[in-house]
Amino acid sequence: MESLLRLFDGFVGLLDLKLLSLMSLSSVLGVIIGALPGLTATMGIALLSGITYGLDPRYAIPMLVALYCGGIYGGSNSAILLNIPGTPSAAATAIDGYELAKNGMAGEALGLARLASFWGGLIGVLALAVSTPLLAKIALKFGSWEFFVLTIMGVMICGSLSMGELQLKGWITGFLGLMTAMIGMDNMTTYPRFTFGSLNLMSGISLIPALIGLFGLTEVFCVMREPKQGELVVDPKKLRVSIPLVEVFRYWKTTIRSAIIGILIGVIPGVGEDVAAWVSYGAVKNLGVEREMIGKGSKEGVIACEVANNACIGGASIPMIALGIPGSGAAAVLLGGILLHGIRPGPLIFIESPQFFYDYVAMQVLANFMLLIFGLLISNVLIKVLLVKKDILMPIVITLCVIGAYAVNHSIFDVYVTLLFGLVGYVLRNHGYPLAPFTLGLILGRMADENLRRALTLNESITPFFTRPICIILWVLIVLMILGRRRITGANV
Amino acid sequence: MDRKRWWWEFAIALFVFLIGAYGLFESLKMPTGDPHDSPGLTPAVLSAILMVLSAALMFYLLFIFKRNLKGWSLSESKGRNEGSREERLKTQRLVVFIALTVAYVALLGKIPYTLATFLYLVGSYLYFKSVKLHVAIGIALLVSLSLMYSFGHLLGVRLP
Repeated sequence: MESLLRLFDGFVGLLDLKLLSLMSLSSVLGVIIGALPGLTATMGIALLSGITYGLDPRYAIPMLVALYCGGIYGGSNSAILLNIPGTPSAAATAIDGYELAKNGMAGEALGLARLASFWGGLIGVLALAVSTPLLAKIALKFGSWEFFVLTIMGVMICGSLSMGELQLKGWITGFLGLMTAMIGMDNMTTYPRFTFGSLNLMSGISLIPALIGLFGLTEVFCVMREPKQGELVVDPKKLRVSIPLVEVFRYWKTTIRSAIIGILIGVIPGVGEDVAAWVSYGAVKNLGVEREMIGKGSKEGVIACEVANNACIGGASIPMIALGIPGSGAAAVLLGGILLHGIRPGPLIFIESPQFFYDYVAMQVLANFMLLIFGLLISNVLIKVLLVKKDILMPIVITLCVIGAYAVNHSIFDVYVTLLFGLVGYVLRNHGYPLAPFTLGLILGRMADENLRRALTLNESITPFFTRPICIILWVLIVLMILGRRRITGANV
Repeated sequence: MDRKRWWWEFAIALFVFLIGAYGLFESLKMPTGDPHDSPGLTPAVLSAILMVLSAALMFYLLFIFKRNLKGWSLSESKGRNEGSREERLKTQRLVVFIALTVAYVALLGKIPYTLATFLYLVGSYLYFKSVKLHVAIGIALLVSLSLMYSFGHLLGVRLP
C-alpha cells in the first residue's frame, strides 16, 4: 500500500507544466536523435547529462529518461524508411520494416513500431516496478566481498556479451575502464594516483565528458569517415502513419515473449537493447505465428524487435536502481547522469532516497506515453530531418558535445578529455573493442576499489571472495554467462 | 584480417600491455600498509589482470599471424585491391575532420565560443563541399547564434 501511495506521489510530482514541457522536448529530441543514423540514444543521454547539469534534478532526470525511451524507439524510423538503423537496437527492425515499406506499407510499419515500442516499454516498466524492490532487499545482505565480485561480474559479463569479435577484447576494455577510474585522488587516503602532477586530474576523469567523448565524438568520427545517406523508400507527401491497434493484439504471444526476452537481456549487466532485439528476432523466426514470412516483410518481425528493445529499458533499469550496476550501455550513461545529480542508485536507495525509485517508475511510464504521442505528431518533421546531409549535421553535433563536456565543471580540460576519449573510442571501436564494458568499468571502478580494500581490511584472506554463499552464486553466474555466450546473444556476436 | 589490420591489432594489444605494466610499476611505488591504507592495491591487481589479458591477445594474434602469413603474401603479390583507393579517401576525410575538430577545441578559450563555432562550421562545410559558401556562412551563423542564445541565455549554460 505504501508503495502504491509513493507511486501515486511520483505521478503527482510530474504534474508540473515546466517539467512536462521539458520532458516533451527531450522525448522529441530523443526520437530525432534515435532516428538519425550515427546518433544513438546513449550519445544523446551523455550529451544531455552535461547540458542539463545546471538544472534542478527534478527536471534533469526526467529529461534524461524521456530521451532514453524516445531514442531507443526513434531508431526504427530510419530503419523502416531508409534501411539504415538509427540506433544499433533498430538493426533487426530494418530487415522486416524496410521490406514492409518497399511493399507500400511504410505508414503501417511505422505505426506498428511505435505501438510495439509503447507496449514493450510499459511491460518493461511493470517488471521494473515489481522486481527492483525485491532485488534491492536481497542486495542489502551484500557485504564488501559481494559488491566487489558484483562489479567484476558486471565488467566480465558485459565484456563477454557485448557485440565484439572476441570476449578477450571486451574484458580488456572493461578493465581499461576500471583502471581509468583509478585516476585521481584516492577517496580513502587522499593519495594522488596516476595524476602526473596535474591538478586537473586530482578529482579523476570526469564521467560525463568521458562518456560524451566515447559515445558522441566516436559516433561522429565513424559517420564522417563514411557518411551513409539513405534514400527514402516512400514519397513523404503520401506517407500516412496509422496505429494498427489490432495487430499488436493479434500477435499477443510474440509481444509477451519479446517483452520477457527484452527484460531478461536488460537485467544482464551492460548487454543492452541491440542484443535484446536480435535475440527476440531469432525467437520469432523459430516460434512466430508467420515464421515463414520473417525477413520478407513481416509485421510480426517488426513487433518482436521493437517490443524487445523497449522492454529492455525497464529491464536494464532493474540492476541499475537496485545494485547500482547498469544493464545496458545507455543505462550506464543514464546512471552517470543520475550520479551527477547526487543520487546514488544501489541497495541503499530505498533507505537514502526512498521516493526516487517511484519517481523513476512514474517518469518511465510518462515517457512511454510521450513517445507514442510525439512519435505520431512529428512523423513528417522526422522525414525532413532524416534527409539532412550528414556532412552538415555532424559538425553541429561536435559543437553540442563541446557544450555538454564544458558545462559540467566549466573546464576546458574536460573538453580535451572528451576529444581524447573520442579518439581512443574510435580506434578501439574500429578494431572490434566494445565500448560498453569500458563505460561500466569507468562507473564501477571506485566501487570496486573501495569494496576490495574494505573486504581485505575486515578479513585479510581472499578466500571469502570465493567461499561466501552469494559470492559463489555470482561466480557461477559469471561462468554460466561466459560459457553460454553464443546461446544468449544468438549468432550475432 | 589483412596484414595492415593485424599490425594495428598487435600495436593496440601491446599498448594495453604497456599501460598495464606502467600501472603495476606505479602502483607498487604507492604507500603500503593495511589494505585500507594501500591506494596502490586495486590498481596493482587491475594492472596485472590487464597485462595477462593483453598478453593472451598478443599470443592469439601471433597465432593468427603464423596461420595467415602465406595468404597475405599471395594477396599482396596480386597488387593492391580496388577498394584501397576508396579506403584512402575515407581515411583522408576523417583525418581532415579530426584535424578541424582539434583546431576548434584548441581555439576554445582563446577566442569566444560563438566565433570559434562559426569558423569551425564554415571550415568543415567548405572542405567537405557540403554546401555553397553563402549557404555555409548562413548555416554557421544561424547555428552559432542559436547555440549562444538557447544555451547561454535560455538554459543558463556557461559556454566555453
